[in-house]
Amino acid sequence: MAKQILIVDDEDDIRDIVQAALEEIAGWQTLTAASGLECLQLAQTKAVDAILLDISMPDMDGFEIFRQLQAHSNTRPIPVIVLTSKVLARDRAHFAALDLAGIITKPFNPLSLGQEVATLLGW
Amino acid sequence: MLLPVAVNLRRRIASIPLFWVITIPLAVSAVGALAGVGYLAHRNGQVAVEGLGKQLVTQTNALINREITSYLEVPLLINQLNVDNVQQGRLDLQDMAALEELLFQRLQQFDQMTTILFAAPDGTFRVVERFPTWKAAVAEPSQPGRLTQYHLNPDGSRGLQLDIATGFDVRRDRPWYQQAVTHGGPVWSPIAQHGPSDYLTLTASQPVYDPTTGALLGVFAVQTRLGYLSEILQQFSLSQGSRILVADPTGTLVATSTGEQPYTVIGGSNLRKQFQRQTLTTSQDELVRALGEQLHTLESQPQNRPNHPATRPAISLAQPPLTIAPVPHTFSFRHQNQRQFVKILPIQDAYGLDWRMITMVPEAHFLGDLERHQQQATLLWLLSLGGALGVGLLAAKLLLRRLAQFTQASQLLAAGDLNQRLATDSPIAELNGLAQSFNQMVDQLQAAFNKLQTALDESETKFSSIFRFNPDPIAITTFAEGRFLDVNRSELAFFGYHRDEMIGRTALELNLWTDINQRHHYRALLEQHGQVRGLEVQVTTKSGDIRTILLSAKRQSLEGQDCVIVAHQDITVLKQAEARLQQTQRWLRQYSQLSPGNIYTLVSEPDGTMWFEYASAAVETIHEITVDQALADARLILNTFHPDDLPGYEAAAQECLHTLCAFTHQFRIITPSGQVKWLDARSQPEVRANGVIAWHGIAIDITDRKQAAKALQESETRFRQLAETVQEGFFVYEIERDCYSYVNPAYSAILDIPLQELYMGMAHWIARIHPDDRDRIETALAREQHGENFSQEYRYITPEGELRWLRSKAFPLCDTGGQVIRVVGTVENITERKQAETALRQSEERFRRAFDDAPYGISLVSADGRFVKANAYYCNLLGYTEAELLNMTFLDVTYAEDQECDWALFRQMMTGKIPTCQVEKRYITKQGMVIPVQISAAPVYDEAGQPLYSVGHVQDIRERLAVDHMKDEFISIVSHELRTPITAIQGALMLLGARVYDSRPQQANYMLDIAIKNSARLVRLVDDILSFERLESGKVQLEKEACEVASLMYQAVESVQPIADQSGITITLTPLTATLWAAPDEIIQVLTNLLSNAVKFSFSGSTIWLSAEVKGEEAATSLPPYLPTSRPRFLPRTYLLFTVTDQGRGIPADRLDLIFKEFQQVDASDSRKRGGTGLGLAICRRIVMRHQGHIWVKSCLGVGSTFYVALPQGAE
Repeated sequence: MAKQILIVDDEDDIRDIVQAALEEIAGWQTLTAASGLECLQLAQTKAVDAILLDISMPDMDGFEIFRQLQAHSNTRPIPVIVLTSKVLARDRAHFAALDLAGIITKPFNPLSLGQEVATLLGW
Repeated sequence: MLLPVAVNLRRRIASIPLFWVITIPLAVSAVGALAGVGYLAHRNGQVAVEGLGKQLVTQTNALINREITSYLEVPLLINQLNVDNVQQGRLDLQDMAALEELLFQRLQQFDQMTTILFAAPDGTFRVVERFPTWKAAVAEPSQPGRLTQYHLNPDGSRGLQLDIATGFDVRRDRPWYQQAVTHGGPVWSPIAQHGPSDYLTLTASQPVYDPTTGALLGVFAVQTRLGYLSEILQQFSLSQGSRILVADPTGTLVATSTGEQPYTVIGGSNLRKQFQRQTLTTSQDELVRALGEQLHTLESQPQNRPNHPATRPAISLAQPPLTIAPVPHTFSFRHQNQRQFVKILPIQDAYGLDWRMITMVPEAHFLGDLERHQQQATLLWLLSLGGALGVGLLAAKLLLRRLAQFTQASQLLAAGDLNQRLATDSPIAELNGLAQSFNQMVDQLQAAFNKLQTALDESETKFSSIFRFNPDPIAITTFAEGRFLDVNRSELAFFGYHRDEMIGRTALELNLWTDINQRHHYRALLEQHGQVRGLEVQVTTKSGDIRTILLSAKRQSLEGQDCVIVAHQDITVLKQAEARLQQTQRWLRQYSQLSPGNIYTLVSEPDGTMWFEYASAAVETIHEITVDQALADARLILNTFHPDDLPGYEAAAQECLHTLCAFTHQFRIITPSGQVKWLDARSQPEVRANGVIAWHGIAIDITDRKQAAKALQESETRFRQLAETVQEGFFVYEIERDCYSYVNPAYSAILDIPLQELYMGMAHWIARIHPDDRDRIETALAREQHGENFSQEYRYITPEGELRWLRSKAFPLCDTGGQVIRVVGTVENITERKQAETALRQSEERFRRAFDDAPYGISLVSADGRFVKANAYYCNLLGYTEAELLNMTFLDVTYAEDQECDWALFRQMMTGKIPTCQVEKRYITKQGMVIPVQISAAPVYDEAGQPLYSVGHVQDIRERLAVDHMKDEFISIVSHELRTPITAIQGALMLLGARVYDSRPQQANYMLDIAIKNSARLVRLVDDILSFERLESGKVQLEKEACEVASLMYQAVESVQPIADQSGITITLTPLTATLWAAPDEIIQVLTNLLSNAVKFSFSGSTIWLSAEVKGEEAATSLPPYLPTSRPRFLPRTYLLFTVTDQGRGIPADRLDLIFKEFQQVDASDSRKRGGTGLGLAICRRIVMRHQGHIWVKSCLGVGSTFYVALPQGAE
């Protein structure tokens, strides 16, 4: 069964790229969410193997979404990889506190995105 | 013999009465003069007139003469012509026709002639005549006695026969023929009848001879009427009473101007009429007759008269025959009381013409009124004569009367009556003069007498007074006994006697003589010499006083008596004075001997030599020579002068010699012993006779004085040098005189008042003291008057206007009574010091202000950490008061964790291991708040180099940290924002590059679009970030200029138009014509950003409005509603308000302010979709703020939003 990845990013274009990268290159199936709410909804209802989460989102930032995900039992086990453009050390420091599967920085190489995700998730 | 006669004569002459003397000569001279004058006048008049008359007559005569002669020449001429004709063969006498024609022609030619004739010896006779009508008479040789008369036609041919006369034979009957023949040449014939006529003619005839044979061929004749001559004369008639006559020498008239015929026919007939010629005496004219008689009387001479029947004179009147002389002469005669002036002129020619032209002119003709005038003159003459005589007599009378008076007065005067005065009222000046002189003389005489009298009286009085009132006693005594005859008052006063006691007594009797011997001496002298002069004797007065007198006496004969006039002078007092004088002189000498100064008299002779007349004893002390030596030789002193002083002395001496003023000089001498002494010599000149000058003076040894003076001078010099070199002003002020007695130059310099002005008093100084300080100074001065020392610092303004700080110290000096008499003081120019003080104070002030007002905390802590000082900021920061802090150490306020590190650094610094320390730490405020701060501290050392305290600058870094934090955030956001489009671009392109979409062009295109879109976004983002960063950093200077608002708006709309059109949104622009002082590009950017935002968030089909307004001073409340946070804190005076209104979805109220923050978008994703960068409004705000403007938004969800930008219109 192909993996289903939930892509969460408010930027349409990023979503498209990631989607294209995962579907075309990695050959996985994807779901997209433009907001935290959507993300939670989808994560709870759909069989999601992993979530690629953009941290900087306007309505609910990534941290909050992660907490929400962790809060719910059915979403807790879903591995979350953070997609972020924040590369500074002190920003990373915030991530360190979270139980994340991994961090991928933007910009990323879409051709190798799948591989990275797979590596991070141990697939 | 001559003398007595002369005397007698003189006597006789002397007794001629004046009357005759005056009158007779006067009369005589008057008469004589007048007569002479009159006679002369008369004579001269006459002569003049005569002369004139004669001249006139002469001229007239000449004229007449000429006329007559010329007239009379004509006949002769005609004859000659005829004769010439014959003789030259032009006329043949045989040809009668030619002859007649010639005769006719001739008569025609000469119309003055009456007749022209020719008679031949053979009896041929031809006549042609014109008077009264043209006639010809012919006689032939055959019948010579028959004269046929014919008329003559105008052409000369014979006409009618008129008459035949017989018995006439021209050869016989006419004298002219005979005479011509006789004479053989041209000749005048006597006046004869003309033919048968009644008139006489004058004929000129000339024989003609055959040129070859010489035979007489005939006689030509021409006749002229006598009356014609009269006519000529009548022309020349001079005046009514004048006559001009032509007569022959016998007096027979030929022609006359009176008009009468000078002949009458007395008988005969036809050709033989008898005429009686008139003579002068038979003239009908009375005057002529008178003339004739006169002529007879004058010129009658017995002479043969020509005996011609035709011309027989008138019946003689038994008068002697007259022959008028053939010379021109004139005379005059009286006729009927009229003088006639007659001139006779001969008229003669060579051919027998002998006439006299007589011109008679009555003198009245020219004398005319002369007679009358003569009478008048005579009358006048008589009158003047009478007048002169009368005046003369009158004058004589007057004169004589006066003279008689004069004589009388003189006689009386001689008799002794001096009161005679003559009257000076005569009209005659000399008489008056004489009278005046007489009077003057008498006056003089009288005056002289009076004077003499007065003089005499005066003299008497004078003598009397002299005698009486003379201060010197005078007495007149007899010579013999010396008895007093008269004494004057002084004598009486002197001796003390009364007048009656002395008169008549002798001096002996009165016991006047003190010493009898003296009397004898006196008597002897008197007898011997007749006078005594200045004899010194003693006399005794009545009171017994013995007086010494100088006696003078003279023997004099007075009024016949032998007297002695005695006078004496009382010299008792004189004598006493003499004695005293001598005593004084002795004392003087003694004084001079005692005087330390050399009293001397130096005499200078005209020749230049000098000698001491007197020198006192001091000479020995001063000059080391004896007085005698000095007196003997002045050079002993004069040569001791110091060579240096000699010229000066000599000059002074010369000057005094010339000007004779007092001599005063100081000089040195070198004594014989070699000592140099200073002398002060003063002397007064006394001019004596012969150019000798004596100098009376005193010379004092002033060596000591000089030395003392020198010492004093040196002392003064030192003082002066001191006073003049010191910087401080020094003064001595005399209270009483209220002026400075001494100021040194420094004082003058400090006050900048010239010395002369200073010496005039304190006023100058006080006036220049700064007004603010003046009261204080005056108070201090008042206290000074009471003896208090004065020490004040004050401001002083120099005359130039410079402000100086001075410190004056003054010490009043009191006299024994405690009154302040003098003030001495100093004044210092402390301007610099004051300035330094001020500078220091200002510096301290600045430091203090800097300390207190610093925008950061400054604390001073001692070496042990205790607060010494803390400024306001520090205190506020920490929440403690300074007083509280001073009891604490800095560790007390330091955050626990930082204390250790902080203290370590502090100690290091204070021990000198580190020069300064910078540390970031945290304070704990009084309230417990933790404040991160940055501290820079440095130690301050004392003079010994030991750390005194540490100065720390404390900066509250909260804001900075926050800013840093914000910056970090911004950077992280920016990096995030940048990474997002980059990710999209890179992703899309990489996917494309992987050829994933090779066969799916749609997908491929989609990916390309993503890449393109995000590239654009990236570009915008980068631009915005950069411009934002630029604005944020403030590095870029916005270049403001005057912009056209409308233009800005247009440009903004233009740049947004494409996307508006794309979105189907209408932009409505309401441009405004105004100017805005701003950076145009930036304003356009603002407007563009606002417009593009509006476009982004508007629905298709909606409208966006852009407008602008100029707003004036309006109350803040009138502005459109705004949020409290964005209330403009200040309002520009006039500001431009742009409004961008859209019909978009609006902005939630809680975001109205937030949206202006960077990267704060209402809906980020939505905005991003629409191409927003999130920086637009932030950039707008930055730009607006840089223009000192404001930007805010009013919005209603679902309706729309309006953005406001307010910018100050002009430059601030």
